[in-house]
Amino acid sequence: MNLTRQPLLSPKRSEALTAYLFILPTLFGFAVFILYPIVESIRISFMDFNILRGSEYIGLENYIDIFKDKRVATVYGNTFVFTFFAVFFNAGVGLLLAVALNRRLPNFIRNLYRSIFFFPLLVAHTYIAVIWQFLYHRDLGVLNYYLGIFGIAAIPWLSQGNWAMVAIIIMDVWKNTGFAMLVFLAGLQNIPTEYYESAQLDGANGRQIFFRITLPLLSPTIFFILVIFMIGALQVFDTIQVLTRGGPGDSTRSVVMYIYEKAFQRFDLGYAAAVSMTLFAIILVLTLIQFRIGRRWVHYE
Amino acid sequence: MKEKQSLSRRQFLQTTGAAAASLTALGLPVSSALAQGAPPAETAAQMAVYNFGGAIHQGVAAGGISRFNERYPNVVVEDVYEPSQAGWGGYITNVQLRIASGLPVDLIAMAIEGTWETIFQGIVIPLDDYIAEDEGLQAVVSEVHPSLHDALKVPRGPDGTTYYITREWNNMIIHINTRMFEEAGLDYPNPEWTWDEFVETAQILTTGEGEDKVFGFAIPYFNFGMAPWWHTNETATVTDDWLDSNLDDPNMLESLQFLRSLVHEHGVSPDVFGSGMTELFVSGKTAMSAGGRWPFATYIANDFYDVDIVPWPRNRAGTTVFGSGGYAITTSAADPYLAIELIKDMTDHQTDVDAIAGGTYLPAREGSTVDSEEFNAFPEHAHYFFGSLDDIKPIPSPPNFAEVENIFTRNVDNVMNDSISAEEGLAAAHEELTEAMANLRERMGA
Repeated sequence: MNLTRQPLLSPKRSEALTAYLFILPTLFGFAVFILYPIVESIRISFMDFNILRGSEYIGLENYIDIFKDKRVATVYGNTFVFTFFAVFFNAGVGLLLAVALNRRLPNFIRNLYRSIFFFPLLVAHTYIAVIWQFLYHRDLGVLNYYLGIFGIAAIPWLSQGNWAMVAIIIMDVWKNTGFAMLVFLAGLQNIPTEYYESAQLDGANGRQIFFRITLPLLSPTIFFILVIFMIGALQVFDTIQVLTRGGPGDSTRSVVMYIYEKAFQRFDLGYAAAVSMTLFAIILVLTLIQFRIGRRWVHYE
Repeated sequence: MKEKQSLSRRQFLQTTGAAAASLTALGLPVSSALAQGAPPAETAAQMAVYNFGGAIHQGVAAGGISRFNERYPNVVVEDVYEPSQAGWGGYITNVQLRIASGLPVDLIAMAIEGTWETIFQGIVIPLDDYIAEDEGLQAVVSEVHPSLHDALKVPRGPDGTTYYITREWNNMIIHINTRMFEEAGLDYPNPEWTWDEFVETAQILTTGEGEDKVFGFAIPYFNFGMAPWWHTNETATVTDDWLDSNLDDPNMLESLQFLRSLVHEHGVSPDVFGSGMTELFVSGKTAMSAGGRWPFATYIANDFYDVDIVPWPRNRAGTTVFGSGGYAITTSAADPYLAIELIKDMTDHQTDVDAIAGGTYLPAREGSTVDSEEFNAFPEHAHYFFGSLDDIKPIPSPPNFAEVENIFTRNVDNVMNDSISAEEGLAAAHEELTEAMANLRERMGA
């Protein structure tokens, strides 16, 4: 007679159960704060929604209305323009700054520059907007004052649609490129120095070293920055809200600002949820495309 | 130990509902039957006030709650503050969410921009019966200028239903830099000055080049701020009943053309996009600005005392605009009678005195303000604040206020940046607003 007690679970299952228990808090948080709101948004997008008076299902009506709404095309256009340039310049300027700082510099100088470039990220948009509005003012702004010294006519930074978008992108890059710089710097410092030493011994010049060693080995970091900056830019709200409030007209209004307007100014939560679902789908598709294309140029070794 | 005497909402509704049904059956008016006066001092309860504004508002309200607690020491009042960053629409949504989620909201403070929407959404209760049976509340209401009180009724006017007890108001009035006027050799303007005289004054005050440039007038480029230009030309963005577009009114076109000309023809106003009028005025970049009493808190904080006020220049009329706000009792209030007692303390004379010291808004009751030394000390012509009440109109505030504001400002942007003409801007806005107002009327069943 065998007196040894059989364990309730096999070691493999026991290990799996332990793993599930470890991820349970995260899973719970994900379910409550991410999954449930997404499911609820999908549900609301099929409704004429009213918090107090009750709501009714209206099928695809909200989604059909999106195609009739000319402003949706405008705000999507603005969002794509902002996303393209903001991602390009945030990543580009961040990379240049990181490369510039990733050389033999006294620690004090390096830390000072890192802090200077990173500092704008720590300041709330509301505060910096007041300063940038003063800088950008067509008639009384500092920027146009200095441009005027060089004989350049006053630029309508905030009062003409195209210039207003340029103004927003400049402020966004000033504020956020420090984060890209910090991540790139961490990526650069993880590249083994042996590669550079070997390349130098083989007679490679600076340009060859940058394009043949630095960039390929930094590609996972670049990919990471492109993905998170793209997702963030597609959801842009506060940068624009504090500087132009989406104006003049609709010329700088983003999709999320439009969702906000529909939900909280016009109380049309169903329509707002439908527009947010389209944005969700677009972000998902673009991110999947990025991952797909990333396989071709991202090198993890 | 004192026993709790507060009623639950359900108990209250059951009791009053049963009483009302019985009395109606007996042919007695419900309002007189509900008269029960102030709840006893030992009442124990928890209440919540949903409030807007900044630290000054919060401090003034805290004083009122503290005086209420002297009378009702067993009532705990939570003052829920929202700084209104999301606009009035967001504010109303948050009130709705709070009520829908079962959290207590007994009183809400609301500005005129959102009052009709809260009434339409059924968030607040009518107060006429309560006023009729409560002499204390009658006294509070009677001291409020009729223009301010009637503006918050639905339908608007003396015959409407009262939902809000007015707490505060603000108007639009011209602010002048007295030092710049003196340096330019200009006297204090004629209080009945015209648009043309205003432009002449602004031209004299527009001086310098480059970093020394000073403009005559900073346009208050927001819906409330622009309204006096419409009202002084006997027009408005919406019709008198606030339910249809009025943007095809020729007077509206004339007003907008005038406003645009201040920037693009007369050159007396800086670009309206970017820094706000108060920042430009305080920093000495403009000689005239506009606003109600609210910028005075900024002036005082910046030791900027070279300021006086002048009535709005007129074209066809001398009518300016006002916005007001007050307290309403929500449908979820556990005990409306207790809520009324709280309103009395939050709109009492001491509240008005505290508000005057804060320098942000004008108390709704003239009596406690006009004789105040502090109020009359700065600016010199402070009496024009209350003086404007003789010829004033509320900011049009239909239930879709935010939508009206959005449509108008979005289209006028392109006029003010000179991309399109005033005719084109107003035509586009009129088309969009007409549709929005038709939707509103359909939503309201009007």
